Amino acid sequence: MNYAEQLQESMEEFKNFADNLKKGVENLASADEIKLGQTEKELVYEDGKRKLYRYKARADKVCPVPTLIVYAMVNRYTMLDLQPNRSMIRNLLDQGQDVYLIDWGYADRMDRYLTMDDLINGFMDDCIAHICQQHQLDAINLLGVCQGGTFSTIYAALHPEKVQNLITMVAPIDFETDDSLLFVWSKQMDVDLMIDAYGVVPGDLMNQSYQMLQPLTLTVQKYVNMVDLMADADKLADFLRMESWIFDSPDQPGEVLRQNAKDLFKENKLVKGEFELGGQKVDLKNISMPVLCIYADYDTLVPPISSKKLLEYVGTKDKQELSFPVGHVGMFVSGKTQATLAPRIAEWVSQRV
Amino acid sequence: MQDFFKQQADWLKTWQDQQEKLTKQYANWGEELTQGFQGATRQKMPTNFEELLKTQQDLFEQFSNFGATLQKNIQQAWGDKLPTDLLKQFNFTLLQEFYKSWLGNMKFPGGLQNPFMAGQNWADPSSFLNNFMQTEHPFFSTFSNRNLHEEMQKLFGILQGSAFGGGDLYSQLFTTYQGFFNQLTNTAGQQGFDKLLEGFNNWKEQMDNYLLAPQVGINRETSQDCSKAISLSLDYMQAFANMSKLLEETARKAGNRFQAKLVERSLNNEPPIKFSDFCSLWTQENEAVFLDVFGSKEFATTQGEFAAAGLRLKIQLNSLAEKVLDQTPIALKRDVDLAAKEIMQLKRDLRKSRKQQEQLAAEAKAAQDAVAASEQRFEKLEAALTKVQDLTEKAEQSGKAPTTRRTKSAEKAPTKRATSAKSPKTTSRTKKPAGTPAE
Repeated sequence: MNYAEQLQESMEEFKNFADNLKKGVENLASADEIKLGQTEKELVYEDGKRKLYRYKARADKVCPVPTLIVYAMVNRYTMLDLQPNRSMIRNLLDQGQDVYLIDWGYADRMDRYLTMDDLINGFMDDCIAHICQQHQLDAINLLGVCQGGTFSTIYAALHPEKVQNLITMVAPIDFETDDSLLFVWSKQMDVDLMIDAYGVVPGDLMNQSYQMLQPLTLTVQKYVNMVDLMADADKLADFLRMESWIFDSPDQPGEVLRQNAKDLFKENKLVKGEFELGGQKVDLKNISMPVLCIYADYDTLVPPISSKKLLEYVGTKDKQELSFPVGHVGMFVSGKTQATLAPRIAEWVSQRV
Repeated sequence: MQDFFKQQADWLKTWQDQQEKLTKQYANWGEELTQGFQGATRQKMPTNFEELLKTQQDLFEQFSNFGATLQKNIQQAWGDKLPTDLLKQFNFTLLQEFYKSWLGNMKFPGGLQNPFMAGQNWADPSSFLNNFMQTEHPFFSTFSNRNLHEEMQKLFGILQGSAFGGGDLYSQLFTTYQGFFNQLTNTAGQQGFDKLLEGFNNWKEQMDNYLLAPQVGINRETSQDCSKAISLSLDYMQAFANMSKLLEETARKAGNRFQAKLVERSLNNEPPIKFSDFCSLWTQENEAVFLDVFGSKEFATTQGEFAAAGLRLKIQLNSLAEKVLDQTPIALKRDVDLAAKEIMQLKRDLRKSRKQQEQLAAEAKAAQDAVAASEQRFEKLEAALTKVQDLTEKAEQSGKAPTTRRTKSAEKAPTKRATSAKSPKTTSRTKKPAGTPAE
């Protein structure tokens, strides 16, 4: 390519860039409010900020055993229901699952002393009791996502009689690995100081450490790329929805974070059989129900090895792993993954109810 | 709001017209320049060169203005719809830096260096990256001196406005202290930090002579608290300097790698012609170096120490502020925490009571069910007994019943009757509310 052609190409690109920006600003000005989590649901139980929702069935034949989804506290559950064509929840409903979901809400200063025990043996247990009572069942299916997967695993080990099937998705279980920068950094962070200084640790601070995992891609390149899609109103709306989710990070109750950081990230007590909750030791061997462990091959937040190690420690013989060639967030937004994820879960569950 | 959108549309139209005009003009000048080179000796400066430069400069300014106005407009249009932290990310001023660099890196024929924005192009990528990581990148800016500096300014405001004993000494202390942190914001490089730390250390020693001198009364505790804050500040400055040096070094390595890649691509006749390619290359090459360092034990430790030093100082400053506010009727964080702790414990107790109540209710229900079942059984037995008695009586009357059987029935009947007669009374007592007189 000679100089004149190079210049021509550059100028052409610059003109397109300018055109995209212009259309993008018009699209931004006329776009509607960004809405996430639009699948129809009903509030069925609550305790202060924490709520239990039941989603409206979307299939004629519904699974007799409901599934409770437990999401992480560090982000909002809306990732599972970002928009109608990117919704794991909607897909599960279409597959005939009866879906319940825990919304942890937004912690504030009054949650300074909230503990993992309050959340797992408290609210989670109350929700499960409520669902069991409503359906006249002794046990239900539990689907834990990310940190919610860790919570669900702990719950299943403590109350195996109340869990019919356990599904974990991109859940950190074994924290020994150095495959994630978060795992490496957290071992050197003085979490006690952080909690003494903040009480309730700002969600933004947590979020910023996630951005550090790809410091320039997530803070610069992403917004350069945004210009290319700004001209397309739908793509721009998708982008903004995702951004809204990313920056919607609830603050973290100090005591929950303390136990999470010290007992799990630093001392890896769960797989060592040393983790305690409410005065009880959590023994993963108690997990006697069927387990499905789902993880993402290119997960930089929760390395695959951390998730799939669960299967080495559980007591059940009916255990299976399922992986997808995506990253942590890609698990929920990749069209290809979404097309197969919910059907695979539904199929696995239906064989065990 | 409608006016705002109309204003936007007008502004965009003008901008685009101007942009197209300039772009065409620039392309024309470029073509002429190329022709000039082809027809003349390679080193000869074409006659239209100054005009080309001017157009290039105009283009850049046009682009810069666009970035700034776009940022302002997005803020205005979306300020109430998107989270603040998301809006902060729309940093279009960064784009102009890229654009400047991209134009600056374009190669002219004949090996002539593009003189656009001479001395201002991507000459020092490390300083840009270092500055970006420390001041623009959200994680570092959270712990950075800028952020802490703002907090300290607030604290100084509180302390100076309070009835804090010590008069001029504290006033001078705060002013000088603040000055050091102002300097920290603008310090870079090993020598700069060493000099600043040395200056701060000398000042700290002088201050300790005053603050830690034997004192009596309320000032004694305050002086010790201030001295501790100064010591923690020194630790923080040291940790900040260590972190800065590591980032600066990483940024330099990253910048070198990027420039080497640019040269390599040019030599292979594959220069990043497009702006988007240029940005991708920049991100890819720089990030590879950053991630390599971020994954090291050295970085994790330095970052941990940096965060810890900042948090220790924050705790001490919070404690100083709380001591001052303690004398006022304002509720402090620790008061809220105390209340939160009690409320949380009450909630736990309430939940425990509720669970116990549920269990008792379940047990009571089970007992009630058992009583009801017993009653039913008694009623059935009673009915059966009555039937037997009736039959016996009928048999007696008819004189057909055998003597032995009649005797047995006659012996047992009164006992059974007595028992069954008591049952309903017992049941009715249990069912009645407390305080109801027994029948």
